[in-house]
Amino acid sequence: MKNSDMSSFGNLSVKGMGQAYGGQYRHVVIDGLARVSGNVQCETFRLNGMSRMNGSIDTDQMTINGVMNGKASIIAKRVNIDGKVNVRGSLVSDEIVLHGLLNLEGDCEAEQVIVRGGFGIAGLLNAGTIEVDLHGRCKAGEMGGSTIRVTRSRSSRASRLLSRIIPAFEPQLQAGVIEGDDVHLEATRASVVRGRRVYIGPGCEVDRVEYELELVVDHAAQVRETVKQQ
Amino acid sequence: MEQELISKKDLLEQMDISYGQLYRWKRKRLIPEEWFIRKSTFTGQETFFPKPLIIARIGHILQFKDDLSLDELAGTLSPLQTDIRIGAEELRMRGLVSEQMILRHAGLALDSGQLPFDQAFYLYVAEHMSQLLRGEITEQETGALVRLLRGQLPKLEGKLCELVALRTESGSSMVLHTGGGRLYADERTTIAASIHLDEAIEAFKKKLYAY
Repeated sequence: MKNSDMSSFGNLSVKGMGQAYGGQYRHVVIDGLARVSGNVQCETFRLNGMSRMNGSIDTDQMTINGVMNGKASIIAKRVNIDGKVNVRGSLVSDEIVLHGLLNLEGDCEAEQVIVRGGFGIAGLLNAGTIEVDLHGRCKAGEMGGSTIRVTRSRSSRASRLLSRIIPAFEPQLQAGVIEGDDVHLEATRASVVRGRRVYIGPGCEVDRVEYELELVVDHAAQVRETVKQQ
Repeated sequence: MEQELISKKDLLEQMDISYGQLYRWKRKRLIPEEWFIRKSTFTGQETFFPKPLIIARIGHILQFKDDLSLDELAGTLSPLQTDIRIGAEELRMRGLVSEQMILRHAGLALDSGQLPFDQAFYLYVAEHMSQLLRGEITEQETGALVRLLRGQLPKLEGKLCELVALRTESGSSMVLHTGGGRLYADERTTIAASIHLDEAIEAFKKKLYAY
């Protein structure tokens, strides 16, 4: 069943603290603290607070303000995260906007991924467009897509101070392989970067770059080996 | 038998496609996960594909991508990947289908030593069934089984389906059974063997694409 045809189902609403069972709902709203067991299918899923999901989620719109821990995979057309999401499975979406942290044990797939914060994706981050504004540690097994743009914005005074005290807060992306048509990287540590047009910006450390049309390497970047493809 | 592999780089160059397209088709499930073979090389982690399969598949996608949306296209690539052709020799070498089976029952499906994926799968099922029955199946019965699969399976796609061999004193017959319920036979009939086709197709793919 399509998620948009779910108008005949009831809503699930938790205010305060509670437990709920999975199932089919129209709208799921959690304000507070909740534990949900079983798989949830709904039109919209909104969390303000904290929740633990023991099953999968299948929805059109997922909005997280707070912290969510999930044990199974998530399918959601649009995902907005302000806060932190930990999932033991994969995340499949059309559009993901992440302000905060996302940890996945599986893969992440979307047409568009916009990140302001950090992530840890054990598998493949595969998206048409990946835009990452580094604010913390980002880690992915592999990244692939059409346009990949990773920037380190000028950090605030507080985060600069924090990164000096705790080096782990230094904004950086780590990935095994990064492949795309247009690849723009800053502050990235990668084994292999492959692309049509590649820019390796300040703070990057890349073992090998393979490019087709154009390669620009910033003087504050380290690249061990570059190969031009015919 | 070693299947010929092609690296991702060579594939992109040969088919004139981009990383973006390849990753997009992967997201749309147009290219099966099991075709992505990761290997360590001296230039770092690289991805390889089974060459004949991926080239046929990408040719198919490029041919139809202007007329169909990618989701529609994904629908045309059924589990019985009809766009793919498999060499009869390869089926034999991998011990999936015997030479006899191909000679006697492939019929017109065999074209310059190659079979479409679905036809190869039907022969594999027939072969598997004859092994389960320990050869106690006549030529005519095998022929009828292959015709049953050819005639009915394309219509039953997506349904859980079980192939059941029934045996009576006068011989055996084959029944395709959907819905997953039990079958009850009268006293003169025994259920000699059964094959779950969804499991069979997974096993077939696994053996076919194994390295």
